[in-house]
Amino acid sequence: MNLELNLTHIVSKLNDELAQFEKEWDERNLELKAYQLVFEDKDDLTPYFNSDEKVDMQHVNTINLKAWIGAVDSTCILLATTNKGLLFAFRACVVLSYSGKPRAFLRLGPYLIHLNSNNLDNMNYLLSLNGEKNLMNQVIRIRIERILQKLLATNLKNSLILIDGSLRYSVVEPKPFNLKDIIEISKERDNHIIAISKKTIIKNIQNLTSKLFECKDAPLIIPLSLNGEVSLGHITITKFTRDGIPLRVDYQNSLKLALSMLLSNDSFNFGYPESLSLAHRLSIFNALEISSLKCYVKAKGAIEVPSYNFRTLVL
Amino acid sequence: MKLLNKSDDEVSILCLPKENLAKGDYLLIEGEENKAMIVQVYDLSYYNLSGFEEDIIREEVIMNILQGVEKSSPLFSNITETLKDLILAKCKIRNYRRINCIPSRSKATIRKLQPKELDDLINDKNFDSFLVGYLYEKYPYHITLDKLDGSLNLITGKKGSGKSHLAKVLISGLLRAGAKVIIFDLNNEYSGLVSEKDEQPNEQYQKVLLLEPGKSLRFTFEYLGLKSVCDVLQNILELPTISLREFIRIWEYLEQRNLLTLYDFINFTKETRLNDFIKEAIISRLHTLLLSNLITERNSLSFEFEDLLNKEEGIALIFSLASLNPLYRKMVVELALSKLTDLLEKNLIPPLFLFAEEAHLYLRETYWDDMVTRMRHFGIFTTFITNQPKAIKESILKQLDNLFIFKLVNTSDIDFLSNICNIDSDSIRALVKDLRLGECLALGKVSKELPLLISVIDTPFKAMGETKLFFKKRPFSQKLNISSSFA
Repeated sequence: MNLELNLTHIVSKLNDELAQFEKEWDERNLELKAYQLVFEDKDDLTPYFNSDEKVDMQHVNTINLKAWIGAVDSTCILLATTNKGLLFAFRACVVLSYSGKPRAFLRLGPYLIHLNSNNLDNMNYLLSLNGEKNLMNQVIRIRIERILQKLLATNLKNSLILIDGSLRYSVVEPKPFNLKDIIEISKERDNHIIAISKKTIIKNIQNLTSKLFECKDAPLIIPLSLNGEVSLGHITITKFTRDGIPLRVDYQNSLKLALSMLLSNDSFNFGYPESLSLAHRLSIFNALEISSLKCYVKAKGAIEVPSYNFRTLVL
Repeated sequence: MKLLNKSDDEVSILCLPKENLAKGDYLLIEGEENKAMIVQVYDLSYYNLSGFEEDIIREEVIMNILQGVEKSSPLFSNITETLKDLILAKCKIRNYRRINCIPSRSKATIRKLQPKELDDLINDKNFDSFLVGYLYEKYPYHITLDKLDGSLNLITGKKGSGKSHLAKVLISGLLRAGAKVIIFDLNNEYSGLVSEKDEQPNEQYQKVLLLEPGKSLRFTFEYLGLKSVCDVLQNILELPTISLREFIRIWEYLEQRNLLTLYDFINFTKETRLNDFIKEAIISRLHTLLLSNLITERNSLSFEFEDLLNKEEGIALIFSLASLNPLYRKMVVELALSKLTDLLEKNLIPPLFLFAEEAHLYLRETYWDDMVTRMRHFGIFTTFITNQPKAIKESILKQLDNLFIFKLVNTSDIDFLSNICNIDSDSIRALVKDLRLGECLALGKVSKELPLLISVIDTPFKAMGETKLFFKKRPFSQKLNISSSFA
């Protein structure tokens, strides 16, 4: 009897609390009318938002300027979780282009790296233990890409270095060759750096890309005024070619010169430079290589242990 | 080698190129508790790991347009190369040690069955045998005589693939074993059995007799007998039944008076009182017989089977049909088969091995079923040789004891044969289309129902029956390396 009374009391109390919650969480006030959206059930979708904002769209008059272009990209995958840390495989590639054609490539890897307490500082080690795999992945990619970017910056002169991504100073920049160092070396040797991002999370940029889409002219830019935390260079939305897709482009020094070098010495596919595209294709791992890497790890003496999926066991 | 999968009678095995597996090879898969199975490789392909094709395309395209420098671990490169080269061997289960018990996938050991082990499985060593060809690894393949005795056989394949050559090898082996062989030779190619490649007579010279219809092959009416002559008149010359009845009456009349010659027959028929239509029908057929020159009046010129076929040593009688028109060809075959069946029925001659090239060109419709029913019981064991397997009645093919298939390219022929074989059609299709000149797939009693790929031996016989060509090879033509390596 007591039990029943208690239960009725508890249920009644919970019901009262929920009534209060319902009052506060009233979806009738949720207004979505006329909002533009893209559903997030598919990966890597870039929204095409129509915007009435007035933008400062500029045509860049480029000149024919023969120069070497060095494009850098890398891939890193988490291959295994060990009893001491995380085992990643990475590969990086430089593609050199000149006069509209890719000419040569340099490919490093695949190499393995075991992130554990011996090679990570305390904070990063704790992060890796907490499963911050994406961050660890970034640590490795930025480290290897900086090595190659420094290699290009010190060995080329009057050339263009293409970076996949942005000129943002990352929280995981390596100490000896960080982005600032590379920009400095490039300046000394009259090299230009352009970072091209296929996808940006900056909402302002997403809103403006449709303006460039509609315009048939090229190359076109929309300069953006964002603070230094977002980039060490200048940020633009740029459409390189008439059939091109607008991209976030960060640059250092003269945009006109950098664009002239890029347009004179690289070819484009939907407005994306072929050198960067090739560097990406040469870096990525396919299923065969992942199988090979697993064999390679075993050949190095690793012992595979049984594993289970707790989620599928209990749910 | 690793057992990858099994589905029905099909087994997939993963192996490396160094294991040198080839189509037709037999593998022994052995597991614990005496579980084992024998499988045969029928198809080989690269094991396609997902992403592999993409990798090949990427490498091929990029490496062709760019100079590249690569730095990676040699061990990783080796592993990738090995994975790219993995081979998937599709196999069919041919035998179990314990019925339907399959060995463990993880623990089973797989090895190529040694050709000697295969030979032990196939051949009963209690019978004499003769060399026919080679199994894989050039192991000699013999056929024991019991496998051909009493059997109905078919040798088929596209022209120039080696059918007649195998027939000659079989005939030669049978002759050495003392067998009596009848050959219907449509292309004058079996006369080469008696000579070496340099045209010198060989050891079979005394055992092979070439019979040329109208010349060395002639018969008297008396020797042939009423039944054989009636068979020709009715089945080949299509004499109506009423006329045949009158013919038999005249035959009996003349036989009683010892006047059984073709000329007497014609003259008597002309003079006797008969319906004009019947008279004309009989006389026209007798004239056809006369023109064929197959019938002689003189006993000394008449060919008799008994003397030759009752000799102790083997003998081959070659009926040369090449120069005959289709009607005379059918007459010769009808007379010969009818007379031989008659002699066998009366136990006057021993059983015969008959080799019939392109039999559909001269064998009458009703003989096909006789071949596998009646004549087989009397002791005529037929081997058909044809490049058109569909020309042979399906009822015959379904009763084949042995089948030798040389290279066939016509898919409908391959499908047709795969339907009548005891083994699965996948194996037939895959194994037959890749056969090379002189290689055949043997099935039936000769292989104990295990499909065998055999390279038929080269023989010292003079090759006959080759296609007569217009263009000649240049005397000093030099072979390119590529062609010599595929020869």
